[in-house]
Amino acid sequence: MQHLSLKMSNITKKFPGVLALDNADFELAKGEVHALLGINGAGKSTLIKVLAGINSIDSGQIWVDGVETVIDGTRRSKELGIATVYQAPEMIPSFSGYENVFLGVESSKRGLFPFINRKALRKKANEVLEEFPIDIDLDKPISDLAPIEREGVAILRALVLENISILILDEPTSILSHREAETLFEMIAAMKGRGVSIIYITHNLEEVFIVSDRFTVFRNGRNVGTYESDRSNYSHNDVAELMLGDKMTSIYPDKSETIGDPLFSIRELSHGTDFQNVSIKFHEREIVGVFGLVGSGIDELCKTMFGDLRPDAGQITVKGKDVALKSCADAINEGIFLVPGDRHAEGYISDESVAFNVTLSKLPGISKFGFVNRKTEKNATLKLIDKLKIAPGDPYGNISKLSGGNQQKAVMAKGFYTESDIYIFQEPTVGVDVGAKALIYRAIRDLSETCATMVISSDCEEVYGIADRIVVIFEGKVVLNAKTSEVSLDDALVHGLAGGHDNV
Amino acid sequence: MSEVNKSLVAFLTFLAAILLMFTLQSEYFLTVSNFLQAFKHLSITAIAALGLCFVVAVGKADMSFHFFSCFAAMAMSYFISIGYGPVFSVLASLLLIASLGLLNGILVGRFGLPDMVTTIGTGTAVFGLAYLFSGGRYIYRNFIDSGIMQLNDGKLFGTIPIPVVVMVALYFLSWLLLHKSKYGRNFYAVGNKPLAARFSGIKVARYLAIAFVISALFASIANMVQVSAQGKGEIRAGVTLLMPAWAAVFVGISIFKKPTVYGTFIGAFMISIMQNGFTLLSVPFYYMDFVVALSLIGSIILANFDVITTWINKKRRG
Repeated sequence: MQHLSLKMSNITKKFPGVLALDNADFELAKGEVHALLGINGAGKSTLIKVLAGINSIDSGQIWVDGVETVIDGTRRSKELGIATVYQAPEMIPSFSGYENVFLGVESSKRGLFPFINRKALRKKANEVLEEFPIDIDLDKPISDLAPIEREGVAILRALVLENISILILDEPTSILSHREAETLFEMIAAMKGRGVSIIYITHNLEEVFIVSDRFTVFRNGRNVGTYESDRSNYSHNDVAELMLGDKMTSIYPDKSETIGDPLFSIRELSHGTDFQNVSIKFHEREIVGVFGLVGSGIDELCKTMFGDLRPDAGQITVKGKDVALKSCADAINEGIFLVPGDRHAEGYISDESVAFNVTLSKLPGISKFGFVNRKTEKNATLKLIDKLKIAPGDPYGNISKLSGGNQQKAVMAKGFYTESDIYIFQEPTVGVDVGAKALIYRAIRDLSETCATMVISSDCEEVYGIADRIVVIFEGKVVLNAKTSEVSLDDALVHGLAGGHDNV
Repeated sequence: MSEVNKSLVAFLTFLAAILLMFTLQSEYFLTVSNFLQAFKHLSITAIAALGLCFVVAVGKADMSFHFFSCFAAMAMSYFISIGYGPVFSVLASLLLIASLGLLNGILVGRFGLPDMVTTIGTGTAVFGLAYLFSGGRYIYRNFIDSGIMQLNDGKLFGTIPIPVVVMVALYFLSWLLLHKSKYGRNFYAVGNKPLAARFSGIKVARYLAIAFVISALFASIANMVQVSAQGKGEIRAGVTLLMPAWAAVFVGISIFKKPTVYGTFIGAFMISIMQNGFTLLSVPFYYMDFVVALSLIGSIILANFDVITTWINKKRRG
């Protein structure tokens, strides 16, 4: 670590009521990939925003390439060669890949005639692209590109900046499937070869060891340590401990030892080309984990089991009774509840209170003669806030102001309030920090004592960690259905990636 | 002070300024008889706006209610002209218009057609149909003798004008429905995030349909009052409801950050009082349109104030 690309020292940033960065230090060596970890609210986002020139600091010093500097705006940040690729990169869907790559450049030009040399930019983009492990057709509109290709375009946009020296990737894999994530890792290696230093923000501990040279953990606005990313020295639990600050055993609760009565089953369920002949049985005290990649049909399977899609063939049976679900409302009436995967679009109603959201699926529970009783509403909500440790615990607080993990818990609380018999959790911990994750898994386990529960996710480790029985879906078909104790994680993953053929 | 309180104070200051200006300019403005008159006028805008408020609450736009109201008023006048009583004529016309509102609701809710264009289409078509009752001519027959004019002239307990009574009743019921009942929650949930609403077990299409029916019904009631004040069935009477109703709903949103029954009333009140004041000052009607339209645009800007401030800041930062 001879040459430092970036050094930040004693950085403090206060927001009303919150000390976001508290005398924080951070160092980035030239040409390294440096993972930045921390639970929500640890200060990582603020640190990134300081570098991007969005937040100004209250005190502290910053050196870029050994020169002390003040980043007083996004323009200054760009001049210093710092670029950020955000979680959901801003792009114009109808514009071609090239046009989107150039967007950043065009907007940074000033003057009456901000001409840019498109030909030179095109050449440069192609040059960079050649080093990438995937071939993106930059003449296609963005809307036609796969998530990984869009990520690639966003990265290209950062790289065509003339003097790029520091690239910040903010949870880049959150919208990617596993295979796509691997492509991204190769891209990162290619960028490293160009001498770009990379700050890599993630929630996924495994990625840290795959992609980074060093990692830094933030907690309560401070740097609690920077370490070499050496798998032999640190386990996931070690890192999680650093993030949380206290002793933490495995984030997954114990497995169930006994299995109760059958509650729910799907038989030979099919929906178009999405999935075919899927049969799964669900019991009390058994969490069924369904793993499949994005696009394997698991999303459609969830939606069919919840009445949002109609199956072409097959039978859904609730407590021994065959049901035909015509809508989500039907499913809820039959005692089925889906905690959807995309909580921002499908989960919660924004700018309404936590209580509004929690009670939404069972309004009769809080009303008399059709009128809402505020007291009943408040008490019911408080009970669930307490049970799921939703913070802050104000039932009339605005749900949009909660952190991702607490929003997810509020959506789960909405499901719990319906007192259903069958719960489907789709991607239950996307964008949720480790602390909230453990709590969510615990709540699912508790629920499984009396209900049939299913966790459906494209995160194999999560499915394997939480479930008693694992079902793997590959290209719309069940390729593995076994007790978790009887298969290995690797085995499950291989089935999900390639249907069980070991040519991965 | 919360966002809502700030907007409310800003709005009340603005309203006080308007009231003061009119009081200074016209000695007739601050009299009981003028206020009764103003409230009668208010009720027409306010009732139409209230219906629209439901559609905006479910996140859609209705560009047809004013045209629908023309159809309803002509249907009512037609029934009266062929000898039916006022009660039957009003109810039968409302039934007709409710089914047309349902058509809007089904097209937008069930078939997912784009709301703006669809309702402009259905509205224009229904306005065309309204000509069938009289070929576009005024309908005078039986009108004055039928008793329908009581809808405007009548007074409860000899003092409160019937239009005001109807307005208060509809506002009270709507307030119960939208803000106190469990159904109100569903309207807002649907308007906020239809997908999340569906996954919460709410029948989204049903709430969209109900909102469009209410919008058509309330605008028609407003226009029936208006037409009965004029003493004849006139086809274009309802056309002018469009802009003030939208303005009223958006003034409400600019204060309370979402479409509400009370916000809509405050919005309608502001617009109506401006129209009344300008009339007393004998300002030509086209200036009135100008001012009301400006207040609509102003309130839309206010309603999106957060968006605008961030945009300005972004510009400044470069």
